[in-house]
Amino acid sequence: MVDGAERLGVLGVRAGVLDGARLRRCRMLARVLSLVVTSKRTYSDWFVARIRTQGMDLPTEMLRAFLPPRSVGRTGVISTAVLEPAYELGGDAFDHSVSKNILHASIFDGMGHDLASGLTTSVVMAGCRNGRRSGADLPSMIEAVDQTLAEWLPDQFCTGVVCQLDVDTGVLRWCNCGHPPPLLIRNEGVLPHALDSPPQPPMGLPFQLEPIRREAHNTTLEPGDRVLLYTDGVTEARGKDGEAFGLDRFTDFIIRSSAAGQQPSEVLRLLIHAILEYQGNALSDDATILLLEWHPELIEWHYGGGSTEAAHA
Amino acid sequence: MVDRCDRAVTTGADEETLERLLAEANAIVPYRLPGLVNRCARALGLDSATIYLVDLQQHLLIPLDDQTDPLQVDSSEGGWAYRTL
Repeated sequence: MVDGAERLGVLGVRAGVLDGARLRRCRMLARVLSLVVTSKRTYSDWFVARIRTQGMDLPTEMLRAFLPPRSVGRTGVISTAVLEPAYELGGDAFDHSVSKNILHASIFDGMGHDLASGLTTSVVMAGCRNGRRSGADLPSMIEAVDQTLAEWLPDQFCTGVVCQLDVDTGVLRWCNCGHPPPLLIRNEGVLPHALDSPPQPPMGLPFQLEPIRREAHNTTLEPGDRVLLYTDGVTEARGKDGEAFGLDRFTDFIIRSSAAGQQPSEVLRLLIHAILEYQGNALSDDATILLLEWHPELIEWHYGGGSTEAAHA
Repeated sequence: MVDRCDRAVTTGADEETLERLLAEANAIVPYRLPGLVNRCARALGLDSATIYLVDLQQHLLIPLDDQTDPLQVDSSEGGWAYRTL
């Protein structure tokens, strides 16, 4: 059962005979029920409680209310994310959304591990959404967030990367606010320093020091490129021997799983489980990963084809 | 039962049933969904159907009804379906 790019679960079916006609109906039933579940799950505590396996702390409850689905996208472009520890988030979050031909994708890491961190990240997410929904340019969107934090949460700050991908042209714009640089994976390898940019302070800091203008940077993606956003909790996760999970292990995992034919959302599911296991199921810091994939050849085929198969995606 | 299944297979699900089920799905309170899902399945010539939702950490597929056991995403047929979606 899927809603757009989001995997909801599966439909189990019993039938004495499972011929072509009945299989087709199973698929139809799964599609309709996906819509029913999606329309009801956000505001039904019954659904929400059903998919939890343990208690959740209050800061996490607050931050989760702001999180979008794990995956968004359409044929040819997908953004998918995971974050842990699922029931005890500090200040990590991701956001993504498709508006016409722009895919917005961002990652945030609010300073600290308490309610104030979660609150800061929530304000940052709301600020960025407010900016993009009112058509603000990337730098002025971040400047508005800087200003809001300075006014309402003056002791807090939040690092992050905010990206906008033009799905038609492949132009990626991003603004990095004191966060680890995004990684570009091309032809099954990491392109070194491809998305580095001159350092800018975390959101909320500029107004405490001296107001600065935010700067956005551009690059043009090639078909098949993957962009990876992550928080330092991913690479700094420590194993039993004290060794960090590390950037190489992290990127190798993604490249290997993708080469083995796994879908992006499945790659991240396996990866976050591997990181949790590496650290003995007890993360000391939040770990968030967002993976964006661009396959324009599929987008053109989707527009031009009119094939029935295109409708499946 | 056999008659209804056969008719569904040969002539397609009848429109009235479809309309009634969709209207019900629209108005239903979530905890009664499992019953409706089963009625839909029977109307389509199947014996029964169960929705499994993935848990927050994507380890388990959790059935919406209370009589069925959860499935492991990593080691079940249902899990395979989920992993390859």
